[in-house]
Amino acid sequence: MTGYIIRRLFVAVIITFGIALITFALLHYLSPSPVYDVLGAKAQPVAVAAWNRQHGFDKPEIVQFFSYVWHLLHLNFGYSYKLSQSVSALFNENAGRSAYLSGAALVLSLLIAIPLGIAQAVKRNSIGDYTATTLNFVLYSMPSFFLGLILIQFLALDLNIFPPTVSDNITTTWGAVTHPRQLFLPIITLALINVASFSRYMRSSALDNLAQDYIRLARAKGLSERAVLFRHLLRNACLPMITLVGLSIPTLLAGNLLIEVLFNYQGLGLLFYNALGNQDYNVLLAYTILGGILTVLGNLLADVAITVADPRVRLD
Amino acid sequence: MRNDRRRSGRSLAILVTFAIASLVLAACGSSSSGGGSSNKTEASLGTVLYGSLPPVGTPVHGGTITQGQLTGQTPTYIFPIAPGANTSTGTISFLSELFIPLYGGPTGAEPKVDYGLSAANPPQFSNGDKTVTIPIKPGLKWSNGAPLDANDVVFWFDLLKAAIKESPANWGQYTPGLMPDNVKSISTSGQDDVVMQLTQPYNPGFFLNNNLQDTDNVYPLPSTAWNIASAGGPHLDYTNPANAKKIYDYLNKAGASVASFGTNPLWQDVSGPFKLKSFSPTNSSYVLVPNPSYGGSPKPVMDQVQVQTYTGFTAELNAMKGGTVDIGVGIDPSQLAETPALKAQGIDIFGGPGWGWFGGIINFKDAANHFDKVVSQLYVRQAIDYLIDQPAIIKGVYKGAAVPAYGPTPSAPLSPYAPASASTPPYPYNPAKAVALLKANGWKVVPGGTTTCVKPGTAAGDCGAGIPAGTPISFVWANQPESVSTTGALESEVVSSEAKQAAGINIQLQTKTFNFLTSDYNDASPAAAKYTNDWGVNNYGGLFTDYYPTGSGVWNEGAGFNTGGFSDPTANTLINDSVHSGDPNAVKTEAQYFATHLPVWFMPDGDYLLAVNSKKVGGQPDGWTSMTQQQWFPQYWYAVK
Repeated sequence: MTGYIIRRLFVAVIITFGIALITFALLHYLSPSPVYDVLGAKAQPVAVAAWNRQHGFDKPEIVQFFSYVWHLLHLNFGYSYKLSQSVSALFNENAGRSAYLSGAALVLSLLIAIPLGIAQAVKRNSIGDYTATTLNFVLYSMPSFFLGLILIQFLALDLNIFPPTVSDNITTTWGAVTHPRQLFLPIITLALINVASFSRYMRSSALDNLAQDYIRLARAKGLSERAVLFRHLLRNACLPMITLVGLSIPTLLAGNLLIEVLFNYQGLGLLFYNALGNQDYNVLLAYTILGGILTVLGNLLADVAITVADPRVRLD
Repeated sequence: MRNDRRRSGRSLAILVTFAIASLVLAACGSSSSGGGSSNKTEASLGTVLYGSLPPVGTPVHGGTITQGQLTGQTPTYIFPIAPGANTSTGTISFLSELFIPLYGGPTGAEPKVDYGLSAANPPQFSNGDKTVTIPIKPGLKWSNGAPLDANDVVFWFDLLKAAIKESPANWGQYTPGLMPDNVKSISTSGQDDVVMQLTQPYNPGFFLNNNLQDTDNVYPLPSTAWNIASAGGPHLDYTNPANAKKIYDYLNKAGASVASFGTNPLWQDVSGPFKLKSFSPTNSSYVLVPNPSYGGSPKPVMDQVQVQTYTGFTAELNAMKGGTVDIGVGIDPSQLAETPALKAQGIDIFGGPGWGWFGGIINFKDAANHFDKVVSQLYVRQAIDYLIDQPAIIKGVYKGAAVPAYGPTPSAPLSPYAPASASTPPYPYNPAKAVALLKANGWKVVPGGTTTCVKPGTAAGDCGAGIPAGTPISFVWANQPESVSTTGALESEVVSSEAKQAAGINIQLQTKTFNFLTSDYNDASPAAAKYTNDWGVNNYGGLFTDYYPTGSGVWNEGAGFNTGGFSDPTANTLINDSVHSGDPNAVKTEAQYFATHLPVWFMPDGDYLLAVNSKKVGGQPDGWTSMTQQQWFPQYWYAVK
């Protein structure tokens, strides 16, 4: 197992390097230097050349890339000339809020999807099963921003139960935690989208396990249905969820771009969206690399977690 | 049995799906009718308005007024000598909220100085327009109690010179040869008079509006508080250029530090109507409170103004509907369909055109398909102008929220410097005339096909010099992406389609980012020479012009903003007259010339749209109409009963 993890980490480093190289090349092609963002469109050529020389943008691209990688290894993601702050500082400001939004939505969706999936499997082909399936398919096919717009219209603008956007005063993660009403709509929007896919996986896994001999044996031994489901079925049926949760890790920090934009929630996704509009390339580059790292790590964590949860699984 | 249950279950599932679909459709449909009215002239307000202004209302002292601002237009700089990269709408308004400009404006929507917003009274020109005396209003004070006087203008000037000496890009309004290059010396006469000796005579209208006013970019600075090179450092003699450089470097660095806008004591020394109470470095939202020392008028009466940042107009409008924002800016024309529903909630939508010109800048150096030779022929530019149907574009693309603009001065807002012909098209939409003009000059016109030159030569009726037989009229028209500039992209599609169908002119549409369009599709930038033959028209949007609308710096030979490489000796002469002669009508003559000689294919001037919750906020008309020029003066607003 240790050897496997080391090999995976080594591969993760190579993959991350590749992501950085490709992203750097693409962004460098679009904008070789942020000089005009700093000095303005009317900057004189002499000033442009001086600025590029001062900040290393006159060097060959490959030199610039390795300089960037060197800074990355020291957790220096560069500087946002648009926002006049270091990218690291921007990420630090926004990462907690994104993590809270995505984490809360993930937990909520699991709390709903797991029992729902089991219930659907137990009451397979019932009216309730079909109703839940229909709802799941509707939610699954619906873009998250569209669901968000519907919830805003109904719950915020028509019924005035929740605010349509997150208040500007929510500037810290703790502020988000202590103002549940402000965050209700974005969290429930994300959670419902996740429930749609999670509950389908859960239903399918539960159905597979219900057909297993150990369930039949448990019932034959006279255990209550509650004991059969929660003591025996639940743990085994949840194994696929571990993989799904692992694959969701990138969104915990990389943010939910559309939801954050829709609800005006200050997180990494919104930071990325603003950086797109501002052509803030250092932020875009750092965000993409961060997303790549989290994806790779998320996959690794999911694989390791499966091994822990299911002793039958061996990683070679 | 199982089949029956499945069929009944399926029927139920179908019914549930339909029910959900109905709910979804009901949620989507929120308004019945289309957008609001088209623009109508409001002569008393000096402009043409879309919609109607919010009522004046009965003011209530106190309260909090909340205004929205959009991402990308937030303040990024707080020191009043702002670099080009930081002169966004948000920064300009932010600075004028904290600091009183030497000459403020506009006056409502009208592009002229508002002396109520200004630190100085009208300037006096003498010595053949080579000497300018600027009388600072007596009694003005900084918030730290120090008097605001002529020395503060000299301080600003000395720091500006230091800034530009380091890099011309350190001041967004800098044009070589103009302020401060055209000031031979500056001095004070008594406590309140600034005297500038100019390098040559300047037209008083030009110097006041384009050098001293200059979009609110000339600010007296606190010469007794900010003449330091480090926090808590000794006060320096700023008239010494070496000291001025040190002071500028210190203030420039602090001015760019967004994280410390709300905490740096420097920025508590203000002269404007407001002081900064707090500033969020995360999203650039901020809170203002009235500055009791403010010497301008009107004086703010609310307790505070909260400016909140939104990702886009949808989120901003939703916040208005939810009651958390009172004033929304930058509403998109696509949202005008909601006007009746918003009105029912007490939210008024209004808008007005900006002072400037917009349209496709012609590249007179693009040699692809001999376009440089083709477009240098005035009749070709005229013919294409005959194919631009501005009324249709205003109706279809702008949903009525725009005014026609046939030259560098739009038909609105009203200006004393606009020629009488500003609202009359020199080449009104007429495809038949376009075709006739081309045919009369040696072109075989193939509507829907490719028009080509069949009579090369320079004689009357020939295509013109340097245009070989068989040359098509074909060029690239570059825009910002539709997701960024919907109207720019759509109007180019309209023109392209019309040109092809009516006259066989091939316009290839291309999408580039704003940065690319301004820096790389730019004949004025030597670094962009490699792209010269890649574009025929650059429609990055346009330019908001100074109140005195001369083309100086834009269309004179070698000008820094001469993006298309326009070169015309007559234009150079007219511009020179506008800038240096004492003729008050010179700039009108110049504007008329550009309207007929077309360095740009001018497009409608789109309204800047705003929304106000009239149940909560009122204000004087000038406070609303000025917002159509993308400048906000919260001192005009107040809570209402």
